[in-house]
Amino acid sequence: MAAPPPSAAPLPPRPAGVGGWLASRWELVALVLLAAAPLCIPALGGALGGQVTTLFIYCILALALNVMVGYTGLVHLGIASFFGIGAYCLAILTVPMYPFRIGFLPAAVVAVLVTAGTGLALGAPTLRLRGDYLAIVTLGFGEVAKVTLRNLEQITGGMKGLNPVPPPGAGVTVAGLDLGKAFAIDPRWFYYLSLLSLAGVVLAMRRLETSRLGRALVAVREDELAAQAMGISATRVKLSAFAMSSAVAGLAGCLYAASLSTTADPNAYDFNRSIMVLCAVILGGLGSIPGTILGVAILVGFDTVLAPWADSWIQQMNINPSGSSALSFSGWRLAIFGLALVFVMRYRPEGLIPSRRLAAELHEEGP
Amino acid sequence: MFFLQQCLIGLTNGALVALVALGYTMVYGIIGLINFAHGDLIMLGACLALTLVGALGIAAGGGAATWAGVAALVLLCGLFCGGLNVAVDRIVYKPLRNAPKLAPLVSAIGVSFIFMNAGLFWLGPADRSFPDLVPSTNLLAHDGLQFTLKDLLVVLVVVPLMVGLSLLVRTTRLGKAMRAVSQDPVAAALVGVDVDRVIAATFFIGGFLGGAASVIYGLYINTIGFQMGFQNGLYAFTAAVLGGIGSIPGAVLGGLVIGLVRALSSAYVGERWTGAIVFAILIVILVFRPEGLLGRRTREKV
Amino acid sequence: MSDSRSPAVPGPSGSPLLDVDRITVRFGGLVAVSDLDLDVPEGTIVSLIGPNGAGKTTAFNCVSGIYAPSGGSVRFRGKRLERALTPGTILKALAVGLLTGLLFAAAAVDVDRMWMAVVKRGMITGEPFTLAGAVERLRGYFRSELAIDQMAGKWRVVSSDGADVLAIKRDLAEARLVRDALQAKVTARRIDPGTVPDPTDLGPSDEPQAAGVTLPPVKEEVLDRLAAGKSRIRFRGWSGLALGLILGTAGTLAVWQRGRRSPHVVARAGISRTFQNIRLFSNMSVLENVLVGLDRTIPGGVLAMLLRTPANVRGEAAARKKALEALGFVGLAGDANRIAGQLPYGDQRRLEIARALATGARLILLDEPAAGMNPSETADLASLIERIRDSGVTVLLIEHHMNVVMRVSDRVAVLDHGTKIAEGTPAEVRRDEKVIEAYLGGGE
Repeated sequence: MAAPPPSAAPLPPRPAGVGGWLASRWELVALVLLAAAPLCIPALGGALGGQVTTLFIYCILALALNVMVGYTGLVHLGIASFFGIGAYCLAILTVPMYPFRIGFLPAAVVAVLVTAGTGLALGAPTLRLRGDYLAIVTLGFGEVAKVTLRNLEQITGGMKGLNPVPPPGAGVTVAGLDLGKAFAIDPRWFYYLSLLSLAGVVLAMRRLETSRLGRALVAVREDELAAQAMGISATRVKLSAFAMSSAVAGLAGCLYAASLSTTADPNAYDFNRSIMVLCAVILGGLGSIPGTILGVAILVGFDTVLAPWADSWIQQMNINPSGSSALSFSGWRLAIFGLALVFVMRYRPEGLIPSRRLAAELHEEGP
Repeated sequence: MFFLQQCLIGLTNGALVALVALGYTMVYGIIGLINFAHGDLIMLGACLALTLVGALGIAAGGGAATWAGVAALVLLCGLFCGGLNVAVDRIVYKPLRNAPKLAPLVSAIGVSFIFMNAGLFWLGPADRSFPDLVPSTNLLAHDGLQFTLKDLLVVLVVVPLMVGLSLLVRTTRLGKAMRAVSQDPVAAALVGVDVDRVIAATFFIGGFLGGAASVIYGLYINTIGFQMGFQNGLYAFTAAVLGGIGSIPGAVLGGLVIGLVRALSSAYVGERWTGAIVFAILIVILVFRPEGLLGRRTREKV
Repeated sequence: MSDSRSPAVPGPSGSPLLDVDRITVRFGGLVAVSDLDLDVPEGTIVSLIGPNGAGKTTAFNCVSGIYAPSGGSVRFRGKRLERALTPGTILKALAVGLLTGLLFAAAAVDVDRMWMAVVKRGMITGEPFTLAGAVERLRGYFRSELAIDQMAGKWRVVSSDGADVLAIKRDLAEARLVRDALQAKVTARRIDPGTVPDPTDLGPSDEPQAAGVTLPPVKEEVLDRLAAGKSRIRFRGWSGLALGLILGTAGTLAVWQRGRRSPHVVARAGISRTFQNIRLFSNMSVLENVLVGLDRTIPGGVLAMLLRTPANVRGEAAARKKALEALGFVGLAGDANRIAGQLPYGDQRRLEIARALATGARLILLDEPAAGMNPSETADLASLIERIRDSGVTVLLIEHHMNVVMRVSDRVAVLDHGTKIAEGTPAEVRRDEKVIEAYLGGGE
């Protein structure tokens, strides 16, 4: 690679390992720490391990959404439906009640292809239109996908969902170790599987950022017409992003269904989940990988740590003897998220950990 | 006869959808914002209507007292929703006027959450039944065909509002200013149009229509809940896109089309697939006529 | 720069590189450009001048595919600037149509019940699930044949969609006999003695009725409904398929038609441009801006990019090298890593030119490149434009700085109120009375 000539103005240095495995040193450190954690913290072998696994899966989902909202600048309000389609695809191909039972890996590959294809099918007619339309199309699709999953009772099990989804490696024995059993007994197996997937997705995102497609995405986001005048097909670029985002969301869905060993009911993939993921991305920082992960951590932390703690505190203090929802902390959940969105957009649209490029763009005074 | 009946139901429902769709299309036409909070604004309007029915002691029946009560409800809820809409615009959207489009859109989603939470406290988590003030007496002297007093109520409220709106937009100074701002806000400002006032007026009118719609919704459907805003908003926004977003007659046409499609697909295919059918129609329209049924093709400024 | 592009290929003999033929552009009632004729020969610099609002930029937008002219045509190297309708396009549309058709058909025949009939019923008898069995059940579903189902340990004879339960038996073999016998009854009801039987009716149901089976009583109307089931489901399936096929194919073609003259098609044909109000990707680095112009030269799609295939890596490296060359050509080599939006105004203009050149264009449209430049920058720009021409790239220029226009142009065309009022060498145009009138009398 030709060495760039000495730069005149300071630009944050490009990560050294552009072609390497992980773009930033901090990510490598975080990965090593997370990989070592289960060896040092025994609690990760219990329920906590499951919770952290779910956190990783949401991170993958949020990174998938980040491709659309962050990199491409298109509002996508139905990411959860792709999450759900991935989960159901995996379940259909692996549950014992159906004859396919092709195992986790092949099923995950099919599920990812199916979600990418669904994204293409949805994007092809609509991505050429004004960007705002995508918001309504994805919103509508999310609702329709949920209702369809619920209505196709014979295929998806309706409100019961599909279960049991066998763990990865069920029936496979490696060196005397039954992998399926290992996954079923020790949550650390899922911990590592999802951590590995997350690392892979982060790597893919880093590569995307510094590649041809990444540049084209930013170009289209900044000035679609100018990008087209440079020979870039805006539709193709957006479609690639949409397919990639859908595929990654599908992957997250596979991990989700496998780790819970059920698809849960279709309501798990509704608008609320889409919006929560969107909140995480916006709160953490549009277009920023560490920001997105932080955003997910905050939101999940809010739901699983802060809200229960605050509620029990309120109960202990006997502030709310009547049990009114207005006096419980979790009753304010929606309003808190809503306010967070409004305040972030007003005062810090680039999020907590901003991406260098978007920070400048979001503070630009538009036309 | 069954088909005709379904069409009648569809048109009545469609008029209600159109009233909500107008709120979306006007705001979009003037500042290019998909006002996600509009559906939830209407939910809050319905909350107020429910509270007012009790507080004012509006009598059921169908006599003059009922009609006066309904008129008062429409007026009060309209004012409430219009005022709330203007306030939200002033506080939330106005500072973001020059920001990238993503910012107001995401803020609108945030506002919708806040409204929903308010509705949750107001109504409680369960659906509430709305008093059946207007009886469903059939007005047609025909057995197979029904056109009830309730349907008449919808027509009586929706048609004058729409006629009034189109007169306002076509003939008044404010209407002219609104059309100017929607075409080119900078140029409008240059020729002395008070853009902020026009935007506020648009939010007020959109909110007022939404408030009126919320009252009729309560009286017509008789069940309200804090999550009703999402579904209704989705249908109404689809109607606005279908008719051509930014176009007022388009929103009315889109609303009627959506109403018809909903009624017919519920009758012939099944209620549970209605959403999917409406969505499929939306995609087909976007493929063949992306500017909507009555919309104009826009050119990008270079 | 010139080493990186192929030697100039002349257009078909005699025809100019760009041939604008009587284009007219209307915005509502306003005619922005009317009947404009303009030829740009290969290897020249042609300027388009005229007072503000004369329609120069509109003409540019027409050439670069941003506006579609209301009349007339634009040809580049003898070809129209739009995607050609190839057999591939039609095949793709048909493929999309077929997929849409299958989706519609699946919805029309109730894919949920079909799944139950094909997959679930294959899992209940305890026999191994085979593909052949599934295909057989699928055909049975489309013939609307009676089937065997299980509930609470008992075997039920049901209609293919599971809506009607006709008999309940404890024994599977007995249930099968009942099914066959009932099916024979249903089939008989469908076929009049006089009609030629449909070949698909000659299934297992035509086997002679087994003796000793007591048939449950089935109502006449149920039998009628079951008999009509086959034509009903086939009608649904075919009409769904047809509707989807038509909508999908027509939709794909409609979308294709709309994107036919999109700016990127024009850019890929070999025309690039700069904009009057600079349109750089202002938050990208200078180098990245140029790399966007080189996007097409890098091989590989999403997967190649994620896997960093050798071809992709080589392509990126080569593009980087070319981008630096292009920056060197316009004199910005030292600023490669700066943020584009932070460059001084004149440098931004030159960066826009570098980005346009990087696309490998044969013709470059420069929209007022000297706007806002000081005299020394303007002089530099004029020599840059000449160097662009000397490297084999044809230039079409809109400019208000007359000294630039008069110095570099081989030919000049003058526009006023959307019509061309004069054309010729700079010296000829300078003397033209209509031009003087337009500039002095037009009250710019």
